[in-house]
Amino acid sequence: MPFDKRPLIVIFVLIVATMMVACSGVGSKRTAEATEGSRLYDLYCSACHGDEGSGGVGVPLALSDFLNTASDEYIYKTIQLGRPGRVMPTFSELSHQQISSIITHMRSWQWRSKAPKYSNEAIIGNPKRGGQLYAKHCAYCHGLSGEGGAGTGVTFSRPRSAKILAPALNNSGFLASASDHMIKATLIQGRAETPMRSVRTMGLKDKDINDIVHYLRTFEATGEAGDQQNEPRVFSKVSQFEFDETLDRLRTAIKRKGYQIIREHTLDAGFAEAGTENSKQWVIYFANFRFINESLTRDSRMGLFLPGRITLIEREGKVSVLAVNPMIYNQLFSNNALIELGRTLQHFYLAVLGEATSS
Amino acid sequence: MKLLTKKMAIAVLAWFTLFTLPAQANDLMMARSKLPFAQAETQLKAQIEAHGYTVSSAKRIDIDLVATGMSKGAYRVIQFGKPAEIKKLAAKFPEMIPFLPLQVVIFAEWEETLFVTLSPTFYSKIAAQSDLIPMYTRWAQDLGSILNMMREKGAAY
Repeated sequence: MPFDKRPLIVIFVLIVATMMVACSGVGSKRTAEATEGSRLYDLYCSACHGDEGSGGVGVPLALSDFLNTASDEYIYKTIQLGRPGRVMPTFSELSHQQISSIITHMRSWQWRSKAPKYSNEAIIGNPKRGGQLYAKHCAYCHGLSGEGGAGTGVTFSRPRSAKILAPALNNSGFLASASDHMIKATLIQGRAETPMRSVRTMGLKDKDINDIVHYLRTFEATGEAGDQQNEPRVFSKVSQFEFDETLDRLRTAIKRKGYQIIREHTLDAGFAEAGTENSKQWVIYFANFRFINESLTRDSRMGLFLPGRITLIEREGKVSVLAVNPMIYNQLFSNNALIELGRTLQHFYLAVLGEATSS
Repeated sequence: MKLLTKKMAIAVLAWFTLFTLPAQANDLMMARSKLPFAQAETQLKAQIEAHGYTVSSAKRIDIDLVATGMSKGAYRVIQFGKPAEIKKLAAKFPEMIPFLPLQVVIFAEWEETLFVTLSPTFYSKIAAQSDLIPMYTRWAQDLGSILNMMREKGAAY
């Protein structure tokens, strides 16, 4: 009796068809996730990290050594936790799915390797010895306390030829995101195109690397400067003088402190027709070279508050002087490099406002 | 009563919309465009005006910053607003005055251009009155749309 192969062929065709449909489903799901990831990356990440991860305000993400050593878990936590005080904000509003899509998109830059996975087990070494090795081999770039390179990596705070500043290894966001085994892999791999080279080339053995990793865990995590959270956003002082006298005192105080008045006009200049402006809302812009230069070097986005500005208003018979409190800068830009500048400027503003409004 | 409930519902909806708009993390809105700086500045002003706002000034602040690596003349602060809104806000909420008018900072980063502005979520922390929420929401939508247009124009460049 001849064997009828037709049912087998039908079953085979059905199995193949089912697999193709299933595979195309997985493929289209991945494609959809990557497309959504690309959209979200453009929206949330590209302004700092560049459209293709080449870096800019933020660090370059498309470096092959970075993608080959950074686990998905590390990138996930970094997006969630940011790097408090080192510019990278927290993106706690992004859902699990959204962060996963962004990571899928980032992985599309990686041609050869798959995302690495690491054990979360702690690496035990000799932290005392690790500290000595760290001081010898790592501290020059990463700082004695793991505070990272000076500045924050923001465009103008580093040489234009340098793609990256040494990251702050004592940052709470970094310590919470990187597993010991990922740090070890990074030390072994190094980061081509950056000054970070493999510690193997420095003659360090496995035990030495374990000691360094253990030592890094002893860093005291740093991040946001909490004592500025309750700072007022705006300084407002009522003047004991008339409007014109307060204005004169304001100009004198600004100049006395070594600042130059750049321009003055009404708040509605450019909006109101000539001759109808409200002269009782008067804005004075001032600066000096050092002030502008230092501000932009610390954070290129500081132009939002440059030049310095004080506004004088008369409202219901009361003359007041208003200024933004510079201590909000570091919170707004998540940039601890602005704390000292903010403090200096705060003293300046309070002194000028005081001189202008009372004798 | 019904009107009050409706108003409250709109305010709640607007508040929810304001805080769920994309790219508003941490009180800043930022975007990158492949447009060169000069074209980006022109396009930005045009987009601001196309959204119904008046550009009141374009300030240069890059005094001798070439030594820091910045291209000469490639940093501006564009100030803008709707005259009636600025007037009303300044009259009713003096604490908002130091942040008025609205601003977008625009600067070159190599061949590309970056845009940074305060998110309306930040303004809502300065003056949180419920009758301001619809305005903040509109600002957030308009700023999001303007920055998006700059990204798209850069992509097409």
